[in-house]
Amino acid sequence: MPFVRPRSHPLWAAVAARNSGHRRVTLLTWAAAVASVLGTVTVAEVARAATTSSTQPPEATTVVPLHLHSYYPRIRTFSKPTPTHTAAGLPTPRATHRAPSASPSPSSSPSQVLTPPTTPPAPPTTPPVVISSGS
Amino acid sequence: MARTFAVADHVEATAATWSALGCVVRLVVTNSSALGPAVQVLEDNLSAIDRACSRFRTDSELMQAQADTTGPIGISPLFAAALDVALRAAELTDGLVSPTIAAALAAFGYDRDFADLPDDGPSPIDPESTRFTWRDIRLSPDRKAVSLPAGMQLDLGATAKALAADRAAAHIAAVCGCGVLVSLGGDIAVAGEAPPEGWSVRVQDAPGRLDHAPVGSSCIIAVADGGLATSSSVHRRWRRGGRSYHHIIDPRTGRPADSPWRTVSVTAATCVDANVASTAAIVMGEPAVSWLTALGLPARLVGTDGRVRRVNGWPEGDL
Repeated sequence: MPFVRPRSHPLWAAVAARNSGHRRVTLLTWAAAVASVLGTVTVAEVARAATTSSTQPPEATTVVPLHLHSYYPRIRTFSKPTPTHTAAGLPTPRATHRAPSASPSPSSSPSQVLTPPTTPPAPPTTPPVVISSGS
Repeated sequence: MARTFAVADHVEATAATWSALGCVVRLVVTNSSALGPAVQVLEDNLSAIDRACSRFRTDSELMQAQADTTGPIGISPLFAAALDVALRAAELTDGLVSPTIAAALAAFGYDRDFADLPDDGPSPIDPESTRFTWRDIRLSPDRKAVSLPAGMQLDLGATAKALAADRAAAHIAAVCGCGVLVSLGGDIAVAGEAPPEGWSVRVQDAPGRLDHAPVGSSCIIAVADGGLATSSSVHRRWRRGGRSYHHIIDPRTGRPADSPWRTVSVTAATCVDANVASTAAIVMGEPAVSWLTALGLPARLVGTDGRVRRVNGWPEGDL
């Protein structure tokens, strides 16, 4: 079974685009959100179309407009017991939470492109509601 | 595996926890009055995905499709969606995440619901790992039929659960009009209006209880949208011939992946994407760091030696 380097696969352009889509889509309705979650078939169809022309560079795939997933998965830490914490035991905003870049240059690195679109809100105070682990 | 989801085992004001699909299910909503209806919607979704995709019940669509190799067999939209997601995962990873690993899992002893596995057993026989690939699965263009070669065994477990989480979260948010978090064995999808500070999630190697200290490396993050998935070789392990094996199969070898990473967590726009990336990262090994970085997916990788790597803005700091 032939294996090539997965990072070269054009379909991941769709995934990356969905994660950086907040730059392209500013309005997300509930219908769009539901449609985006349920739109896997559309993703696959478009992806297959991209795959059939393997010489097509990832930048040329036209999957982005079909996905209204405008969300960057905003994540932050808020429970690290370090000196950076406030008196209440909550961390100050971390350096990793950079302010958004209004118009990133096309040559930005992936981490720069995916900088969250808004300044992170104040550190949360709620305890964990769920565990994510291998199962 | 097959069970009736009648009563949530543990119910809080805005959360419920129970077991289904061989894993711990946790549902959290932002509106306590929505919990009851939300539990029902989730149970319905889980029952449906179980009927479609279980490899441990003879009446599932998956088992029926495997048994009927005379030609294309008609399938439900849900099973088609699960197959589509699995094939997409394989396509995205060039086969590193494949639905054709069931024979390998069974050969190494994972041939029944995990809770029913014996403590030990005879040494595994290396499966014919390369006999089939995901490209041998023929899903009709209209997604209404599938053809499987004789002898192929499918395992849609990981991607199907992630798909169920995504679908159920969206369904619940639409029906109940509130924020919702659905966790199926630690693979998480959120939808609706998140709490102001996001959904607080403790990420760790193995399942546990929130009121218990985590074992091993862990951190706490907040997720406001999309999905979060963790793949790990730490927990779902069993013994055969006196040796320990885990459930993340490398389709290239047909054996449990020999990875420098014991746990990988990824956030993405959907739980499915997060799941695919986290599983692929375990199988891929060391190159996963650059791979995830290039994809722009925030991720945290824990090595077998305990070292932690974070990429694409995953917050610094562990518990």
